[in-house]
Amino acid sequence: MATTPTSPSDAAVDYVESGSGQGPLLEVRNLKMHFPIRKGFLKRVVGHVKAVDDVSFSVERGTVFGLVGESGCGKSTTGRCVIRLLKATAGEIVYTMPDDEPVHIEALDPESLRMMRRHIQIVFQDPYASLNPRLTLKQIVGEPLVINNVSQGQDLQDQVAELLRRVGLSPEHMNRYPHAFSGGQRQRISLARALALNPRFIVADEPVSALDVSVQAQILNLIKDLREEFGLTYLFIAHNMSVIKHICDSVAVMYVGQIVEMTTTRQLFRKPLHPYTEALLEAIPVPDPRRDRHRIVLEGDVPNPADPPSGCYFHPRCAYAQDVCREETPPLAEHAPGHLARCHFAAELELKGMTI
Amino acid sequence: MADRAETILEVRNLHTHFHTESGVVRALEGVDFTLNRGQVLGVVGESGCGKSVTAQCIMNMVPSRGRIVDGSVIYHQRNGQGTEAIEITALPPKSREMRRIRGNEIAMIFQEPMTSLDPLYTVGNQLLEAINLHQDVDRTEARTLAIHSLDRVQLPEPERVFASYPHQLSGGQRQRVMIAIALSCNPTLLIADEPTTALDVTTQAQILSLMRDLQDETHMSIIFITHDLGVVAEMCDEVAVMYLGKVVEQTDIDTTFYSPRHPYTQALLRSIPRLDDDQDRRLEVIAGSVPDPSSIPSGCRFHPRCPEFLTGVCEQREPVLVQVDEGHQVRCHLYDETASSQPGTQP
Ligand SMILES: Nc1ncnc2c1ncn2[C@@H]1O[C@H](COP(=O)(O)OP(=O)(O)OP(=O)(O)O)[C@@H](O)[C@H]1O
Ligand SMILES: Nc1ncnc2c1ncn2[C@@H]1O[C@H](COP(=O)(O)OP(=O)(O)OP(=O)(O)O)[C@@H](O)[C@H]1O
Ligand code: SF4
Ligand SMILES: [Mg+2]
Ligand SMILES: [Mg+2]
Repeated sequence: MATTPTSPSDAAVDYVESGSGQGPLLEVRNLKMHFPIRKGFLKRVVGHVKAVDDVSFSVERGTVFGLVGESGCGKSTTGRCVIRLLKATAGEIVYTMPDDEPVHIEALDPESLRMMRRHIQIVFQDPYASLNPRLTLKQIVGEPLVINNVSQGQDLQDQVAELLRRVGLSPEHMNRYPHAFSGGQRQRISLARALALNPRFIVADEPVSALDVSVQAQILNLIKDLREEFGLTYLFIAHNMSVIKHICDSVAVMYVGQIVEMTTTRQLFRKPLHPYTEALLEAIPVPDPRRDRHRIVLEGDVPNPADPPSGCYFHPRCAYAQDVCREETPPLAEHAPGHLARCHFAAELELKGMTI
Repeated sequence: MADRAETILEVRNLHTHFHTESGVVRALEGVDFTLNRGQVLGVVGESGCGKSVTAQCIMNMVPSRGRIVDGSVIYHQRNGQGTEAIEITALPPKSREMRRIRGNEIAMIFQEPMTSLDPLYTVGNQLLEAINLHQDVDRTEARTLAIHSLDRVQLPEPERVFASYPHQLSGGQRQRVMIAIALSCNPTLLIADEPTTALDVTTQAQILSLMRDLQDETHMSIIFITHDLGVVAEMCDEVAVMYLGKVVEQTDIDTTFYSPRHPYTQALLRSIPRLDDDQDRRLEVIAGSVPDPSSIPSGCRFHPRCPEFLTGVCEQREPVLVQVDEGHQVRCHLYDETASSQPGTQP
């Protein structure tokens, strides 16, 4: 998708989008995050939790890329590696600067990393835990501006006011503390803070999961508006398929640290190629009482990532599994243009999607 | 299906307040609903509207700072030929009678299985305790019942689960254990407070399907508390919608989704992201946010956010629950003829 370069009026960092404006903003190649498991007195490493195991994807400019999957599949770990809150075990994370210059985030020294934080921000799931209760809104939202010597005094005041307005909060509340705000308002505060340095890329880790539906709608609309207005690009982590469908342009479905399917949102919902995706779609509770309530339920639990099953990780729960699935690991292969799936039978199975 | 329209539980005009350092929290200010035997009633509403407090009142387990200041909860117990009406809210919470009802008649499962299971005891211990509390059985019988109840909630290897500690089980398995404990005494009424909110969609689908099977098998009545309208559509026969401590609408499931009357119910339904949405559709949002319980709006408490707000009426007087159709109650001035035709006459 082509995007027009942005020219924010009150930019904390004035980017000159001098490059071509083409190509992905972020490329993740063969990312691995293996956490050591230590045991005993000597804390010897007895194994590894392969939280993220060879994950590759790219995020086009001005789009929302979704990561979805059950709890523990490695979504947050992927997000944290991307912004270097975690140092990946292996892999490349390539970010494209406004002048088209590629930057290897995994190799940055601490000083360059600090500069990079202006470009890439993260918003967390829990709006209660992520805001310091002893700071006022002005301090919370203004902090990145102060730390990076972007502004002070009246200037700071004005910029914070503008940021609050941008996320739909009244600047008059600037001197209040977080406890005076509801969950949805706190999530707006987190977004305002993330926007302070005028980032180009935001990792949103389940930003609406803790919110009520009506508030969730406000935040999803806000995220869309910010994309349209400022050309923001997002990595959007969620476990709710309806939310993914509403906000993402492309999606990767993760299972036990690996991507099992990746394509455009439309394609994923219409014609899933992996049995796990089909099961995820089937599990969504549909707000329509006239729909048949009886349906296929995926049995069993997510396997332990420290000790995954042989062959295809999904085989113990898969309704279509054959002998080969127990023995051989299927590759993530392209079955249609831009549509990847990790299943031995992706080409043959006629899986149930949704008419959208 | 049980006899139609035989009431099992009535909640009438329930008012419950909490006394805190920063003042009185009026958590419930008019909760009314009726549950028929063998039915599943969904109680929905946004965070803080009073769903859990309502459940606590039905169990007669309101925390010490809280008090039921008005209204009643009446449980219709079957015995022999007929039924006997027991006013739960008139019983002392620790009385023998109340303890008998809690467990033998009414059981509850909670949102967070980890906080309601004791991490220091095995699943088996906790199940046996529940069984021994309410049933007069010897040790081997109790154990057989316990294993059977784990089997009934479709836990693989019930013997192994029996000997496990809660942290050795997955979230879905813990929730199955909670259900097994609640069902071990064959309650007639089950209250489930957000039993799947903390779970993944796939695990949620497993638990919902299990609860449906158990309901088909036992015909127990269920109060299903949730804020997920998708879950409501899948599970419930009836729905009570709450807003800021009041029930604003109660009707059957189909009417709730296809012809809701209260502007809040209508707005809530419009705000959910749907799978059949056009990608570019903006979600309709409810203006503003839920007010703080310390500054509840005058008149109809939904009026500052209501798109249908009648000036001079809605901010002036509290609407009463009116019957708009058989089995369909709405608390809104739009449907209250006495209110809209003669504004300002009621006190
Ligand atoms: N610091 C750590 N040390 C060891 N294991 C970890 C660490 N962080 C995460 N893990 C493990 O890595 C796996 C992936 O965790 P992650 O938090 O990325 O999952 P997730 O997909 O975000 O799940 P959720 O939906 O619950 O947020 C899990 O098995 C988790 O227990
Ligand atoms: N023990 C208590 N002390 C003081 N106030 C309380 C207590 N329990 C509940 N409240 C207040 O009563 C109101 C209703 O709370 P309740 O827990 O019933 O909401 P809920 O509808 O279950 O919300 P959620 O969806 O978040 O679980 C809230 O304003 C809450 O702050
Ligand atoms: S490879 Fe086999 S087990 Fe794995 S998803 Fe495909 S059919 Fe199922
Ligand atoms: Mg996570
Ligand atoms: Mg609750």
